[in-house]
Amino acid sequence: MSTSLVRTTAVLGRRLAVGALVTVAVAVGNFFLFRLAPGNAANLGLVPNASPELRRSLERQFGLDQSTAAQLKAYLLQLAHGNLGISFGNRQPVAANLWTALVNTVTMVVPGLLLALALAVLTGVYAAWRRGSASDHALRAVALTMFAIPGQWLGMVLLYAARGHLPAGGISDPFLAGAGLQAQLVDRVQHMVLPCLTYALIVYGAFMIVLRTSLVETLSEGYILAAKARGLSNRLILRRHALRNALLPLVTLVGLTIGTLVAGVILVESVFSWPGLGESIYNAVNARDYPMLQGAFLLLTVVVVLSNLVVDAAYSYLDPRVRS
Amino acid sequence: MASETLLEVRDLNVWLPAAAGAPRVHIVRDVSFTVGRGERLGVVGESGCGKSTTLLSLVGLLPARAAVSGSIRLDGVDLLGGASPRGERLATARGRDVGVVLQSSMNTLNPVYRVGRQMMEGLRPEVRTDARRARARVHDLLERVGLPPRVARAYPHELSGGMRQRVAIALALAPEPKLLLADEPTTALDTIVQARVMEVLDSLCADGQLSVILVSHHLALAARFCDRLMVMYAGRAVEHAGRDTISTRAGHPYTRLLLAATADIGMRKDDVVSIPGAPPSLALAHEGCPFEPRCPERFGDCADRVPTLDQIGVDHHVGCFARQTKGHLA
Repeated sequence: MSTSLVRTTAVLGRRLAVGALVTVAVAVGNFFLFRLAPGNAANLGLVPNASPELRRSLERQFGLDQSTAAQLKAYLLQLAHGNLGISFGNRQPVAANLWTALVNTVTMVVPGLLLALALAVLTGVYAAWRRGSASDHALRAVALTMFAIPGQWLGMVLLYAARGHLPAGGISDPFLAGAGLQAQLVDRVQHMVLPCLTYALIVYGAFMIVLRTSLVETLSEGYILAAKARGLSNRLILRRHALRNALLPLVTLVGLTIGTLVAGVILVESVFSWPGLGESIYNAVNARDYPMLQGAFLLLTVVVVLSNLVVDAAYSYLDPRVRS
Repeated sequence: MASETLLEVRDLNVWLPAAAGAPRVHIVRDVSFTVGRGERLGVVGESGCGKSTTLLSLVGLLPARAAVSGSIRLDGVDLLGGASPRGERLATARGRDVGVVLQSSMNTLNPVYRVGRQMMEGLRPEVRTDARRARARVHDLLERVGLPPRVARAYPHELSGGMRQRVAIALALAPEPKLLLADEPTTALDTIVQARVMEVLDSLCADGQLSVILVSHHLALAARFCDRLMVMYAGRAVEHAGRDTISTRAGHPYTRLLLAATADIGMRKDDVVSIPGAPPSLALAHEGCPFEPRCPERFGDCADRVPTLDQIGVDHHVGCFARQTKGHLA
């Protein structure tokens, strides 16, 4: 028992070390990547019609007048102290900006993911159990349609459908700032409904298809017939014997989805003016806000690395064959 | 042999759906047999002759679109008919009065659960709900198939093929069934492990309480283990007799060829007999005896009519015109 604990710790330690290495490598790569784009923060309309003197002064202030090597050295030194720098855009610490954006994104993505998962498990299990039936075909058609629909278009259709009933954008109503807690809470939830639903529907399609396929495959396994032969009820066979084995590909997919957070989220956030990570990155790109971009991409790197670790852990929890 | 009848199957017919659009295929044709309490029946024949389908239909494990007719009575209760919707009684019977060891029993175990947990699922409710009794019962079952208690804590992938097969048998025995259906239980195992598993099965039947139907393509193995044998060909029973009758006075040419086709380590390559040709596809209609194209004793009638299973001796039934008209061969 203790030897397996030692082994688990060793594996975990190695994975964390590799993750840290990947993060540093990505940080360096990103530093160069953003500087490949033409223009910089000082000459890109931060101050319209800025005089050459003002521009030079801004460049000095942002450190853009130094050599690339010196800038990299300064960035890495800063990073080593856990300091992500100051945003060129709003002169606030990048960490504080990112934290606000991350919290906003997570409050949209997590309920959306959970909703998508719940829908996918319900419909996926039903379709797999009645595979080949008309309802199976219909559910798959719906899922494939959801998978194929462009997210921003779906968002706008939902906006149109809910016009007058739900707020069209933003995360809260600024005029409710002084109102009671309950009114504010209701307002926040109302603002969440459309973005969460849009995000859930975008990711739902792939979840459902993957789960159904994997479940159909699992249901043809020998141990399912054997479980039937032992007289177990259909419910028990589905829940205990089929679903757990069929969940593995879905776990991978959810991990990947979380890892590629921004790709799906940026569209939804831009439709609903949701002040999350996607929108921050979009604005930072336009403003060549290097510290903000470097910080945001570092955050995404950490999210990808961590979600991979979590997927691996979930795998070894779900499937004992992975452990040995 | 014990004369009390446990299982009585009459005129069993099974049709399975083929590919979409194609007519359904008549897999099992008018098969009747009985199994007495404590009796061991062997069902033998080549692949594709309907042995496994016959067995699976007894416990309702065929695909949902399969059609079954005839009667299956276990302890006098008709499992197919009756007021309850079809399948309900089959489901109750399987896993309670009937244990099943499947052909693919190497994959009988769910890879993600420990062996003990899977065995507990099969225990009768009154045993399962008492953790201490359940654990004792699992260890007892493992002991009966010759495995140490620690196997209960292992995952399936940590066991050898032979061990997994014994676990599969223990699983089938968990609810203390009266009848054990074993579908090629040793096919995937090497000869030595196969012999051990058959020993285990033998010891389980020693007290005369458990009846067994063993499906095998291995006539010699089935004849060693079983009291009676039913030889199947192209969905029909072609010979049905006690094992001694089969080994000494087999009536059907197919049975005799199967017996002759058994290889022995002392034989030379040229001595090994095989039956030329292959069983007919059940999807294609054919008239006459289905074995006729491969039969060394065929004559006039064989190509036109299907022989019925007639009694030609004491407890000896054969479906062959050659035997029915000419009587026993010496």
